[in-house]
Amino acid sequence: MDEASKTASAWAAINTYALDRRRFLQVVGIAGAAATLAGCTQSGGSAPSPTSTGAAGSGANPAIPGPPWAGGVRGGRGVVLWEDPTITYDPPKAYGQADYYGLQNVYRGLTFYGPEAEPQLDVAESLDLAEDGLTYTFKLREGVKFHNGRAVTAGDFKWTFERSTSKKMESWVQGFLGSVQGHKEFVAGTADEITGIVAEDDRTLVLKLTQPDVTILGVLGIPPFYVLPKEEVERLGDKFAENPVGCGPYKLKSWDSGQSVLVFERNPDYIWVDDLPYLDEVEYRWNVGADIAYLQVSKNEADATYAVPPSARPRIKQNAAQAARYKEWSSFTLSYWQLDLSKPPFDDVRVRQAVNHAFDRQKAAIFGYVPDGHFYPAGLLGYDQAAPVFGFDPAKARTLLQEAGATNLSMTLPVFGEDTSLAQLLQQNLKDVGITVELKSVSVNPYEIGMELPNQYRLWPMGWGMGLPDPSELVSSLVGTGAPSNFQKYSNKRIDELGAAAIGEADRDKRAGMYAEIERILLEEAPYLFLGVDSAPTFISEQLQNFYYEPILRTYWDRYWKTGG
Amino acid sequence: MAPAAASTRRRGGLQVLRGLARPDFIVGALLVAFWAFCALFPTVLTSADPTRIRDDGLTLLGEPLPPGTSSFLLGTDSLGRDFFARVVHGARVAMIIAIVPNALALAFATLVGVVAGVMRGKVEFVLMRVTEAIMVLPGFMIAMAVISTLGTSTTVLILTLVAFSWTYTARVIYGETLRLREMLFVEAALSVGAGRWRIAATHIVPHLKPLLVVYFTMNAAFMVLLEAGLGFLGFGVQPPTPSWGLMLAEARDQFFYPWLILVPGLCLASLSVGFYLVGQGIQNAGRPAEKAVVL
Repeated sequence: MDEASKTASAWAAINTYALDRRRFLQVVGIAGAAATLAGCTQSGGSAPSPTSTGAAGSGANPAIPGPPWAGGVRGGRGVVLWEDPTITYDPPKAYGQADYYGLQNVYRGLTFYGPEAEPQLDVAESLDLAEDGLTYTFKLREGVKFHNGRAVTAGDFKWTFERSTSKKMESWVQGFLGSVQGHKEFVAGTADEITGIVAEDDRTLVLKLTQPDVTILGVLGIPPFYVLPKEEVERLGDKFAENPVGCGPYKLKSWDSGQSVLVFERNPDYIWVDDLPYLDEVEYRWNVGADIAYLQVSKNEADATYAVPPSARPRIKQNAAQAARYKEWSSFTLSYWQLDLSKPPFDDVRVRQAVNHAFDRQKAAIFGYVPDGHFYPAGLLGYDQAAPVFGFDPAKARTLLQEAGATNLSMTLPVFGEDTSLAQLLQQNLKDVGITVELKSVSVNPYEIGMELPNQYRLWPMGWGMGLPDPSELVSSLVGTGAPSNFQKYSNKRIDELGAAAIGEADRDKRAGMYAEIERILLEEAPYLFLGVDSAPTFISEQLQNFYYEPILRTYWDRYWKTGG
Repeated sequence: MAPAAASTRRRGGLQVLRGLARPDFIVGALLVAFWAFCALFPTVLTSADPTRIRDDGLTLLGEPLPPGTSSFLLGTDSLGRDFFARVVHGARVAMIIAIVPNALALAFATLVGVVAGVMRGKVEFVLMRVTEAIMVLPGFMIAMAVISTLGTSTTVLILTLVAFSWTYTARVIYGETLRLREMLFVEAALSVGAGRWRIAATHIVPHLKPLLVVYFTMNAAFMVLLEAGLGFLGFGVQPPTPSWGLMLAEARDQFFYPWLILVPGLCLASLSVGFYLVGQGIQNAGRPAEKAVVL
């Protein structure tokens, strides 16, 4: 079997878990996105060329992974505005919007996401998947260098993977390599290394699994598994968070926490530097309110914002010039309220069902949510439109509360952030069924207090932006027993069993059935007050071209370009 | 001597009343009276629930309704609540904040200023240095820190406003106390054997009244704006209670719907200006009366 055949064979096995094209288009659901995707069934060269002249990207390099990129113009600076602060560019620690979704500018990994959320080879040149599906052999590309000039080796990947999933790191991806030999022992502290990760030589990395894992290539394509240079991480210590060194298309030029701005510049050693990136520099500004961001981008003083005030959206849609620059993308970001299941009143499933019936989630649409009542985003494997979601039924809610003997309930609802609109809607809905809710503005980040939340509140708002386009992440991170963000300590044996079995199930339909059953259990047991999926708005300048956005890595500043200087 | 003093006070009282008959004072008094009426009797002006999110409160696109739409005199806010009802009920928070912490702060400032001025010595030194130390603290920032630590209840809010608004007035009262204790009528009282506290209670505090009234009205405007500032930053009264500062905060990204910003802004301005004009009017009117008393 030659190299190409081996890789093709591997993809056939791997892609059993990926979103199929039809479903993905349902997810994005936007004519513009469909048109973009239609022009790009393969990465790189087949995208339609824009009308700009002086194109730098020849389109002749099909090895460049990811969404369409060909035909752009080099030069200029892209300015991106974020509401959230940028805290760290250390990949396994990053979880904020402004840092997590900037990591791919600086770092890259073995795989990268293609336009249909399928993993494609990136730093890895080839992949040989053993017939038993348990051994993955990656060959690295020659010439991939870190920003400090040193060549990337297989040993760097082994070190990075062990660091990202170590107990000490306490990253949300700690369990993501659970199918790799020796990972459990490594996390438990009984082994110094993950024995199933072997650097055979500088360019050959072998992953040995204990069971088939159809998610593994997708996992390797998310930022916490992008390769890091050990010597820089150790030399800089905590300062690495603000001095990132990777092998991505940009390298850090400056970072000014005081001014809330950082600037990336083109990496002259980038493996695809003859083609990408187009922009000379990209500037991230954070702590910019949605209102200011909208105004700046509307005046072309900045190039993109991902936070558009809900109040501005109807007006933008009525303005043809602005509407062309605005899109609402479906996302893989879930929103819900977690309920403390260990104490009254939410230890009673009838009370949990009651609050779900009491909430008028259709009204939440004006705040930028897709409130279909599901836990899963539409388009995710296992999403079943026929699943019995909670309808708005205050009478039923009152009946359930009476049956549970839960009368005269009162509780405090923390509000993280400035916008209390959604909390006020819930407050009124619960008041209508006899539950008094007091709102409390809280300045801390809910993830920082994590497990402390149940000690302080009975319910609290949460969101989860999926880093992996697969429901396995929701089990391993949120709803599985002992999952890192399972702050409410929810536990269901059947869900744990289904989650474990689904990881190794190669039959896509069977996996879908397993995950659909998990969602049905969740909808029945209601460990959450379900809200919906966030609608992801983007608003860009008139100059920005080739803008593409998807739910996993979201933005691709290596392949956007600007017209008009 | 006594009938002559009473006669002087009567003449002084008439002079004050005549002094108050000025357009600026009348405008101020009318503004304050109007908002006081809203605070006391909001349901006379509107029967709508200011916290109710109305099913008919938004357009089909989810936009707030503009002023004058069907049954909404001032339109609706971004959640679809009756904006007129929120403005009227919001006056209650503003008036409570203008009066309660203001009165408490004034009482505390009077206590500190008079005690320091009457006692002198070590007590004076300690009280005034503590007052000055608190004066130089960035009150607004510390107020936010205190509220975020202790929570956002109305009690905490009021006590925080008191804690950071009494110092300047205390300094002024202290100075006025020092001036008054040098007056002949105080020396006369001393010469007939009156004690310090009796003098403070019967001769100094009564003469502080004009000053206290002026500072009460001036500080009322300051309190209203301070609460609005804290409310804007999320440290004031908590939703859904209507508060003008909170309404401004909720409208900060509603730039397509200007009434959401303009109306609470104008309410705040009108009440603050009203208190200020009343204070100015009393101050101007009080001067001749005060002179009469001194003479």
